[in-house]
Amino acid sequence: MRTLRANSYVVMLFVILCTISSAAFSATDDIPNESISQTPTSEQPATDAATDQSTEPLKTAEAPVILPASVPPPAAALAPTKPFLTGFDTISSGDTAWMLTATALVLLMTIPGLVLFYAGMVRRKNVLSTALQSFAICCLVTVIWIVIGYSIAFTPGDTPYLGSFDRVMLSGLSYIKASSQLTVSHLAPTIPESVFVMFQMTFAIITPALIVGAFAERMRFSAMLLFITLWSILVYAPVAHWVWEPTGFFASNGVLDFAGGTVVHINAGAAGLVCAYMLGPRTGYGKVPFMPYNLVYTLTGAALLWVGWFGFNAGSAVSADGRAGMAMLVTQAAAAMAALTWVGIEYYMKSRITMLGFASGAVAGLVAITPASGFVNVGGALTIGLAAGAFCYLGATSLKRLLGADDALDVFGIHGIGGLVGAVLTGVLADATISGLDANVWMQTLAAFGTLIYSGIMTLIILVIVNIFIGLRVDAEQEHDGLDLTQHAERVM
Amino acid sequence: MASSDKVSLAALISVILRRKINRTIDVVWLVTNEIYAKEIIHLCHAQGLTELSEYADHLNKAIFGVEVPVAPNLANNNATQPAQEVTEQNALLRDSDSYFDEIEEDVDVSLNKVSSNKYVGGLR
Repeated sequence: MRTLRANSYVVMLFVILCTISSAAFSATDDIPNESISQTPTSEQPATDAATDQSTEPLKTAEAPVILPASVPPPAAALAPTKPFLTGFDTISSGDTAWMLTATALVLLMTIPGLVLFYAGMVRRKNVLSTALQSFAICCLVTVIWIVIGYSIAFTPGDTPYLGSFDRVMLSGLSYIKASSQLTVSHLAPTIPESVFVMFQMTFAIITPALIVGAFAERMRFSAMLLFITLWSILVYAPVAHWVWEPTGFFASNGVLDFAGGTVVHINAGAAGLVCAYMLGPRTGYGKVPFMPYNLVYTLTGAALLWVGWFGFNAGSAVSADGRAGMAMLVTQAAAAMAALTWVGIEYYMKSRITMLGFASGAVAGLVAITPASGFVNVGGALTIGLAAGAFCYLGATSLKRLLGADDALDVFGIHGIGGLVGAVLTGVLADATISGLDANVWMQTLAAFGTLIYSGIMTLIILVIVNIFIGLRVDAEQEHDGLDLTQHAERVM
Repeated sequence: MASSDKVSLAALISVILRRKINRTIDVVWLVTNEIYAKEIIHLCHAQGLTELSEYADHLNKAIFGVEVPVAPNLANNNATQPAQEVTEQNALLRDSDSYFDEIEEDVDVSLNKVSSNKYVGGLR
């Protein structure tokens, strides 16, 4: 009966999405020139010629880096503040080529990187379900991002807390061959807006996919789908708006987050911890060993994550330039340093160096360098790697025991703690010669913990709602048989 | 029918049997060994559960191609086979019931030899 009810909710959700999309499509069809109104030319005085709009932003909106509102650059008055239409000639082929590559790399982090990373750590009877959850999230969030996510995250809204609905169903996003024009985002004026939408979509995909590790081996598939839908709209998109959209609450206060330490990792970590509390521990947790299925999968997944992270961090420069190169270099340095630190502590504590330790340490370093990758030099990266290796090790061991939650695959211990370490140390170690910006460690800390609290509370509310309508957890018998069989009627041989 | 479909059917039957009569079967052996399959299909029909019988019918058709009568018990099926083969197959059948569980137990035992606390309450 409950399964029937769960299925009906999933169908209802699908119908709602279809309704919204069809309405938006019809609106776009009715007003074919609506996209033109997105240009500053149509909304600003005649002195702001279209040509001015297409060239000025190149100087001011090079990357999704937030300029402090208190000291706007001289050209800011002319810079567009929303996506706009421009000519083909303003697009950089080099930047576009790099961003296409970076987008594919970030998607590679989720499928198959995160799929393998998580699937290798769960018991054999839950391997398929865990892998499938990340894959399903990829499909689900793609649609959500197109329907509403991008619009409320990356367009300026009436308040600093939420974007507008101008880009619902990506209405207004244009590529017009006849007039050699296309739309670009005000955050990335040298690449087509379509590429920017895709690039940000891959971030929106991986963030909820990270949470899967916290509720692994015990959550209903239908409940997971509904939870991720609501979470993407109510948590991820608003936080992305606060931090990355120039008019956002944190961005306008000078908070620095180059590639998503706050938006992605703290956000996912907090949600994961709340999920672990809400679902309760797996049966037998803390009493019997939970054998990981295949740690070679996990190491392979970690390797894919590492490689994909170059798209994540260096791609966040939104251009193929020296700053992207620096981001790539510090990413490599921090990951390596954190891995060595983790296994060093592990050897000191347990007299063993493990494969899982190397993989976990590398991911911890990658997480922590994420917010800092466009702001710190190599020395800063090594420091962040050292701190991330140590703090995340404690987060996944001692702190985990202290918190008492069955965060199955240590989402909070690695992503939450790593994100916090990176966000705070960005304020301490940011090098003004690289970004031209001075960081404020107190604002960094405030934004990090603000996001932690918001994500935690909203996740709790969403889980309560999902629990009322569907039920979060499979029953004890299903958990014993494994989610592969009971949820999907498949099994790893 | 594809092999994966047979496995899916076998998996569904496995879950229902485990829940309803607390009987554990070997999913892999069920789709690869015809004698074992006939016995399990017979067992499914004997429970008088509609859903289980339907799955058993589907599996019967998937494995044997057409609706074939299911032998009342294993002994009848084995009557025409050489004694040596019957003995081996019966041994396999006995062993296969908890094949996966035994593997897990073996691994657990090996693990306990290495470290009794490993993977208890956390991976790392």
